[in-house]
Amino acid sequence: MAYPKLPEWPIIDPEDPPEGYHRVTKVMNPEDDTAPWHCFAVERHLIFAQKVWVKLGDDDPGEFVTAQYEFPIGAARWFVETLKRFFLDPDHPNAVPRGAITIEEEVDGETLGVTRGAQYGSMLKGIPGYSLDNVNRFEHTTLGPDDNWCQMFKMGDPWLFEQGLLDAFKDIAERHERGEF
Amino acid sequence: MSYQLYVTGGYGFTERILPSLLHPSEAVSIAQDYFSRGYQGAHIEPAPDAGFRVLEKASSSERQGILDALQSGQLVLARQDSAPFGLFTERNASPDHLRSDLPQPLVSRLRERWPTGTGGGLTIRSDSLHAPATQDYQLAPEPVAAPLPGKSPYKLTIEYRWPDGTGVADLPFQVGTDLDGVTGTLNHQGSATVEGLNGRYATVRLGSSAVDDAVRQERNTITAGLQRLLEQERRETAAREMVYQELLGYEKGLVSTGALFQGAYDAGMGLFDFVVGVSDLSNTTKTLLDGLNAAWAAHKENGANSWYETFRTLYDESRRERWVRAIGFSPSDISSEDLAKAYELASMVMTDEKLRTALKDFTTDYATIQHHTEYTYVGGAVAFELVLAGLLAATTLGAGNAAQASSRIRHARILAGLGPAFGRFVEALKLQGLRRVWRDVDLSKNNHFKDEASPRPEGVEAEPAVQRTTGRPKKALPQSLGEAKKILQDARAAIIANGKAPPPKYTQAQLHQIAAEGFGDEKYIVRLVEEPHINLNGPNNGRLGKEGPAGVQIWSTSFDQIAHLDTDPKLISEAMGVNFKPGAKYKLAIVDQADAVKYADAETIVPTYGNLTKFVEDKLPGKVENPGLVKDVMTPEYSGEYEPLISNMPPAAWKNPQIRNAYLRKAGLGQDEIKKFNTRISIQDNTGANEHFTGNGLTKTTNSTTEHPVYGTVEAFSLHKNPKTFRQMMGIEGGTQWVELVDLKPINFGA
Repeated sequence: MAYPKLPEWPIIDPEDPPEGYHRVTKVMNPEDDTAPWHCFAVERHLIFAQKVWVKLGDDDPGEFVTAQYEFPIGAARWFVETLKRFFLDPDHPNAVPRGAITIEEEVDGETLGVTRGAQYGSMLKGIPGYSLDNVNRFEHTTLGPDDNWCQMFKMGDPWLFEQGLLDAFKDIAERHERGEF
Repeated sequence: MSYQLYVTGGYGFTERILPSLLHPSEAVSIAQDYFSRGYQGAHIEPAPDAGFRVLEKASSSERQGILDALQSGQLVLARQDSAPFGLFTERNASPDHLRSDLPQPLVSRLRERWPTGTGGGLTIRSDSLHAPATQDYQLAPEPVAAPLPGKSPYKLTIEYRWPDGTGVADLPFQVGTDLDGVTGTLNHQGSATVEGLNGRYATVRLGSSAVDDAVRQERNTITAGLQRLLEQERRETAAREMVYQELLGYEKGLVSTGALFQGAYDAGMGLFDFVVGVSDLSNTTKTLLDGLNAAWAAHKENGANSWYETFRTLYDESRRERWVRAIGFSPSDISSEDLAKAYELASMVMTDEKLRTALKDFTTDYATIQHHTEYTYVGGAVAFELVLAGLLAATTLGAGNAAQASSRIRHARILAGLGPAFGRFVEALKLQGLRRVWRDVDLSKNNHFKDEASPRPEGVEAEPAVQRTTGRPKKALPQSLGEAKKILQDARAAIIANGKAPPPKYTQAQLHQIAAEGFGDEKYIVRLVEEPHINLNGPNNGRLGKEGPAGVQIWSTSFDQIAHLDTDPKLISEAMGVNFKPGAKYKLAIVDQADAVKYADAETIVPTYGNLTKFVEDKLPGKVENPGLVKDVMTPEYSGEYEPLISNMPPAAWKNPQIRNAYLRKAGLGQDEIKKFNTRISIQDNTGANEHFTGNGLTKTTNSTTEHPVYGTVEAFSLHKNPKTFRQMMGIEGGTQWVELVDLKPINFGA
């Protein structure tokens, strides 16, 4: 089932964000220390952006490439609450239905998802993880969109549960609920 | 017409009956007619001393015994009213005129002691109470008059054609009456006219009875050759086994005896895979064989040689090349005409019931010797391809070179040495198939002898090879974690006692079979875990699926697949396709499948192309815009493109998608190609199907090559949606224990 897609959100420079982008936090994926992920709040959305310097060999002059994910502002709280459903007893009425590895719901007018993936933490190391998905938007970077896969911000179990990323999502949710942004 | 059977050298076998004896092949033909069609104006009197009183009441085995005895010359058949001189080249029953194609027992008997007199034969059974009184037959042949052209009253015409109307050319024929004997050859239109016959009743024979002996002789040559090949293979296998046993320690681990030797591997695995592959209706070899079969069937009505020409025009050239490659030849070695001729020869070979049975038995035995695999039934197509390959090897490379070409020809080498014998056999068989006889026809009523040659036989259909179910080892299916541990301990004790690593439990074919069946009948799956990951964040606080030895620990297998490998981490890791780290400490996690579903909502499948495609389609329906692209990349063809791209990917591109996309762009990939790549790598991300993923559900052992993979275990892809800690899974905090951790300790083989 293909979901309708929203127009592509302009990719920003996370090191020099446009006016109106409120810097929320910065997190580093332990399995990808190329560059941190910057989190911004703008209007009613959360933006995750990672800007990396790419230089492939001596003959490559190099360039910055930025990847970006966009979610409705309520995504942080929804992700924290939805992730809990994966850890309920599978027969609990609120658990992710048996046999399913993803759950999708509408949040602030966009359909979001959480998915369990075998190697979302690291393909090299085989670390499983979860992703926060926006099925109304395509993956994209400054190199262009990938119009076959929806946005899936992938996080390994260790990053989420042991190195503070889940806490960061909780913090974002609480700060938003306090009216900070 | 009346005939008399005699025991060669037995009662009544006297000099006087010699002119009336028929050639053994004709005797067999007459007796077969008699047995199959019954009494139709003919009568065969049993030999007085052969034990049969009334032939009409003989059992089928007794009848077959009579036919065999006639064929071998132990019995002979005489006409009671004429003298055909069937054993002689001249109308003179003397030792100097014996035909050269007579069976040896008959010749020996005659040469050793020529029968004399008119009474008893060579050995009169005077002591027999059942022997009838000596009887003289009035069998002195009437003199044969040479035809007198213009004055003799009878003539006849012969017309013999193929189903398509073309003549059966150059076939010898014989016409005999009581007064005449004429031989000749059919012209290129398949016809002949014989005039000036004096006798009114004629027997017309097309083809020579001598080919019966040639057929029999070549058949014997082939069956004896097959036995020699089996004996040779048994000796070689025994020799390989001896070398294998001299290997030390882990060298023996997961390598079959044959696989240690490349030559044996090429031939053996080829045949083995072929036997299995023919069972698969999508098998390339079968598809191509079907193409040959269709080309053959479409033109089987054609005359002797025209099939080659029509075949060449109709059989797709690229198909020929693929098929030729499939059986191990280079397309430049073999032309379409070679292939057509070999196909015809092989098809003809398979029409002979005795040879077909012998070849099937041979194939079964050969495969069993090499792979310890038992088949209840090996389809004719398997034997057929062996014959076909052997013929091609013999005809294209020469019989002498064919055996030497074994290293590059898949299984051609096996029967290549018999190629010439197959060729001679088929030539004789073809002539035998053209034989026709009209007996004692009244020429005043019918003097036109017309018939149509039979079309070529049906082509050989590819048939499945059915593996004997009892041949597959019984699965180890413990019903409790304790029982599973006991099985491992017993295996370890057995291996230590034997002083060597066990051979693979399953053959490659059996592994394929289990991959297709899945693990639904197995209670436990197992996963190799490095000890530090178990105790991450405290004792037993780690989870399944954490960072593993080589990133493949998400892939597991069933308990049965490794139970025979005891608790040796090196053997297990090699079987599971994981590079063994000598310094690392491993444990084996035994996971109860049903409880994993119950408590962690685990999803476990055998990861084949089809299963993983379905997994993505079913589980991630909203994530992929174009599911067709998933199917496109989950193919062997795309795997061939994916592997080099992945292999050359810089380390940073593994971690970071932006760097990866820049790498793909720099590698010259267009947008569509990048999209395909990203679809494939997303499947890897979601399921762990990396660039080494074979798509067949099997893990290649670490000590085999990509070109000649040897598979170790059937894989299990297992995803725990709600991952638990080992403390939880082992019931340390209370609750059900559904995982057991077993210490893995290397066995020292002294290597």
